[in-house]
Amino acid sequence: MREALIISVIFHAVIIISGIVGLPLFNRERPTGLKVIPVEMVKIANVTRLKAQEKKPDQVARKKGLSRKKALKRQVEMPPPPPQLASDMPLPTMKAKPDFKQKPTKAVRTAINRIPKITPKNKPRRFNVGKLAALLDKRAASKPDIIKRLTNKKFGNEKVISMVDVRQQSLTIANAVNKYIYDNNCWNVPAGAKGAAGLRVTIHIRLDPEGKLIGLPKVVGSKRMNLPGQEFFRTAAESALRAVLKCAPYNFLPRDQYSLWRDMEIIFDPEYMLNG
Amino acid sequence: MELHVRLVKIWIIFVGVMLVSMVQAVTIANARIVVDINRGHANPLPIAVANLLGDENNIISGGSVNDYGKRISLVVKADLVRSGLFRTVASSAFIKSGNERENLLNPKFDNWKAIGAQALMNGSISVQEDGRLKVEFRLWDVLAGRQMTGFRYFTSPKNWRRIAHLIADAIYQRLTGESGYFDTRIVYVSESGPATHKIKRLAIMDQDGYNHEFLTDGKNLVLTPRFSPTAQEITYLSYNNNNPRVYLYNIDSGKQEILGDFPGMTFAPRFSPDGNKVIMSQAYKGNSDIYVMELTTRKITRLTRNSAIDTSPSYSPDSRYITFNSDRGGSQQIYVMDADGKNIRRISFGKGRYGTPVWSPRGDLIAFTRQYKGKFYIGVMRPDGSGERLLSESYFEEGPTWSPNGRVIMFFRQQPYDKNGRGGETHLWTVDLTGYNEREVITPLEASDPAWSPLIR
Repeated sequence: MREALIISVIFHAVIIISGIVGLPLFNRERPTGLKVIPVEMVKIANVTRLKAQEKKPDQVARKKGLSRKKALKRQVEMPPPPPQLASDMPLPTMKAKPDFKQKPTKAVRTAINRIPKITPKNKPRRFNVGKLAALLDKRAASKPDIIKRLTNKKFGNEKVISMVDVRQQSLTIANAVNKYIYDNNCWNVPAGAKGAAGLRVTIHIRLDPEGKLIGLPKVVGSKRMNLPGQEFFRTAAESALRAVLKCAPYNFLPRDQYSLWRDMEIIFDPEYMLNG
Repeated sequence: MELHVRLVKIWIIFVGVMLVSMVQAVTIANARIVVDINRGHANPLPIAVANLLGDENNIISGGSVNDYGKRISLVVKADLVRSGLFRTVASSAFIKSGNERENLLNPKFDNWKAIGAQALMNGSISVQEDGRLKVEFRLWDVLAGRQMTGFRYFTSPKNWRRIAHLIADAIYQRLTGESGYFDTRIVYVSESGPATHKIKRLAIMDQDGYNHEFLTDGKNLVLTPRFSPTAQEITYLSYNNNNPRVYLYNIDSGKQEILGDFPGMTFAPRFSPDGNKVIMSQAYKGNSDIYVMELTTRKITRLTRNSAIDTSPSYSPDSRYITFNSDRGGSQQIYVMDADGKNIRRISFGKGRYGTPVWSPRGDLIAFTRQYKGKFYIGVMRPDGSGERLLSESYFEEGPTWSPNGRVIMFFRQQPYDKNGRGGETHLWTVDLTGYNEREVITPLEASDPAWSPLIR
């Protein structure tokens, strides 16, 4: 009994250890070369936004043994200051008090010449009534089109780490497919349908990484299509198939999420359209 | 022993953790996106109807065989477009490539896709040795690249329009799931002459207005023609020497018989769905009630007994109920009762007057005429009175009749008179259940009181 127990414990321990040690190996990412990560050395002052006091050219010159003239030249060679915004400049129609004492520098003159001449007709208004809606409604700016968001989204080397993430990403993709099919007029609801409550059609599609259909889409429960008295269901199923075929390819789907959208089920439910 | 218990505990925890991890991993790997779509569009389906290919050099009466093919295709197109559910792709956009005969069985779907067609009809026409036309067509699903249906018909050349309607019905049925209504006829009252002395003749035509024929000579006033739902027979009311009689007329044989002489005035005779009874209203001593007559025994049964005016009875498709209009509640409204005259209940409660209820062949709706604030409307409601929808509106319109598939309603509409007393013409119109597809049916003279036939067998 004792021997058997010891053997059993040892045997189970071996399985558990091999499981703990061995299983992660299958899932471990293979080395794919080192990533070059640029590291920038920054002063603590830059991080804390506290600027050290700038040294005067004279001080620099004295320290490096340069003459004052050379030090000034070096200062001129420094990167130019950011260009002045046109809106901050005095408009030609505005009567700015001329400063005769100090002539404008060459850079300022060039900048002034670049400013387009504004006639009173297209003089910018400080308050534009037409843009009031845009000022009030910030949704468009904060929430762009779902398909664009999906296309622009950089998933990079993100890893699926939890079911919550999977569900969120699946929802985003499902919403995008829904919108895409609607926006492109792909689904024409069968007009003659009677008994819309029983006309819910599920289509299973398989896509390649380019978003193209692999084979023809399949109607789940397609046997019903050929049963007598199911003409309306057949029509509904065929309209759903046409919708899926017309909208292909689905090339807006994020390729790095391919494992999520490789197989999809699209449910077409005309009840809301026919009875709503 | 304590060590043993600890080891077992650790073992259970490890196994539990591993199982949970594995289940989660498997679930994530098998997660399938489900897209739920409940918004779509109700646009007409784009269909390409190609001309039926025939021999241009084979001339028969009325033109070459190829000409017949073109004519049939044109009628098919017209039928489909009139339904409002289809949009035909212009033939000038067709991409021609390869041998047209070979393409009949192997259409180049990419070419049809490129011009936006989602369905394609093609076919051929030829003449048999016995002089009959052989017409065959196929309907293709362009996007799926497969045949949906196909038929072959044999007929004499004079029936070419009927073949076109049959093809249109087959296409309509295959693409919508409901039976078509193109191979049908309309019987109506043709009117001519001044308003005070109108000559009213019974006339019949195809549902698209072609093959028009007068059935009576106009000597006697005719009213309320109604088709039998099972045979090519009509009932109508005719005044002979100011004596109203209900007649039964067989269109195929041309035979006419008197259904009965009834005391008093008889209105609106209408067949039961099985064609074995005729239901009507009869005015006797100033009181109108609903009566039903067995056609085989000629036995008459009174269904309503009320001092009010009960008229315009119509059976439900299952023959279990009858709808009619009555002013027993103070104003003219629509009522439904059991087929034996019991359990009478009012179903219309809107403002104005409701009349001429007609039960849909599908059984789900009742069409009616509503008069409110000086205007007339054609509308539909469910048999329990809910879901009332008004489909059309004008100065005066009345007499709805259903297409056999219960999707289109035909009625007559009268134009208003102008200051000089001109105008007032009546014509036939159709409107579908959406209310958007309203079209006039062209008749040679003025027309009123239409009745739609069942599909011709």
